[in-house]
Amino acid sequence: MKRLKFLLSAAALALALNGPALGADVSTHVMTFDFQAINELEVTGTPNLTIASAIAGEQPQEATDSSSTCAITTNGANKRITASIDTAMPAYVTLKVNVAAPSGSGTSQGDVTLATSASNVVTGISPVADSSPAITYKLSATVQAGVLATDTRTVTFTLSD
Amino acid sequence: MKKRLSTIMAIAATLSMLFIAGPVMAAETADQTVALQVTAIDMITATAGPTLIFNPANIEASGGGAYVVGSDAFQITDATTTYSVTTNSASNKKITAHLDTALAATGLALNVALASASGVTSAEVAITTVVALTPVDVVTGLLQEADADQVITYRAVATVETPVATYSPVVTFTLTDQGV
Repeated sequence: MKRLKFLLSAAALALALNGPALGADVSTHVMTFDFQAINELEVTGTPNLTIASAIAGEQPQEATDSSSTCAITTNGANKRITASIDTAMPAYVTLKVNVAAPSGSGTSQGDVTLATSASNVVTGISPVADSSPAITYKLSATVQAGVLATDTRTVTFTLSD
Repeated sequence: MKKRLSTIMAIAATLSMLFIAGPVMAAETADQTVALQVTAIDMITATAGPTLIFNPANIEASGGGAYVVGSDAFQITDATTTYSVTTNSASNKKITAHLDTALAATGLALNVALASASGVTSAEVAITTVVALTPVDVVTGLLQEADADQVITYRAVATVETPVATYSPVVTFTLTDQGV
C-alpha cells in the first residue's frame, strides 16, 4: 500500500512537470503602455491686412484680421506658443498678433508685436486638445511709413517647453 | 517544467508591446502667410464755417483795431474754425482754397489764412473772386503729416456801400499734389 501511494504521487508529479497543465486555464503576460510626447500645432486662414483710411489729423487707422484659428494638441505640461516673422517689418509699420489661449489651458499674452525673434503669445499650456483658438492680426502704420505695395510675411508659430 | 516556463516567457516577450496613443506627433511648428498693404491716404476735413456778423458791436477798423466812427471801411475777423489733415504721401502736398462763386457785392472782400504745424503757410490770401478753376495755395510743403485742429482765420472787409444782405459763399479746401 505504501508502495502504491508512492507510485501514485510520483506519477502525479511527473504529469505536473512534463505533461499538459491540467489546471492551467489562466495565463498572464506583461503589457507595457508607453505614452510619448504629443505636441501638434496647426494654423488655418489667409489673413489680409490693408491700411486704407484715416481720420483727418490722426495717424492712419489700424487694419485688423480675425479670420484665422490655431488648433493645438498637447499632452505636455507648462507648454507655450511663440511666434515670429521671417523678415523685419518696414520702418514705422507694426504687425501684432493675438492668439487666444486654448479652452481652459494657458494664458494669452494679448497683442504681441511680431519680430524676427520669437515672442511668447500663449504660455502655461497644460494638456489640451482645442481646434478653435482665434488668431487676430493688427497692422498699424504712421504717415511716415508712406505707401506700401502689397507685401507678405510668414509667421511661424512654435509649440515648445 | 522548464519547457513550459520557457514557452510562457516567450509569449510574454512577444506580447509585451509598446502601446502608443497614436502616431508620434512631430508638427510642433506651423507657418502662416500674412498679406500686408498700406494705400495712399490723403484726408482733410474742416469744421463748420463761421458766421461773420457785421454790426456795430462786431466791426473793427479796416486793418485791425477799434472801429472809428466815420471810417468808410471796416472788417470782421474770425478764428473759430479749424481744419485737420493727414497724408502719407512721400512727395509734397499742398492745400488750396476757392469759393463756389465769386463774391460780387460792392466793397466786400474775403481773405483767409490757414495755420499749419508742419507745412508752409501762405500769408493771408484774398479769395473774394477765387473760384474752382483758379484755386490759390494756402498751405504748402505737407509731407507725411497728421495735423489736427489747425486754425483757419477769416477776415472779411466791407464798406458802407456793401448792400445789407446775407452772403453765404462755400469755401473749399483741397489737399492735392504740390508738384514741382
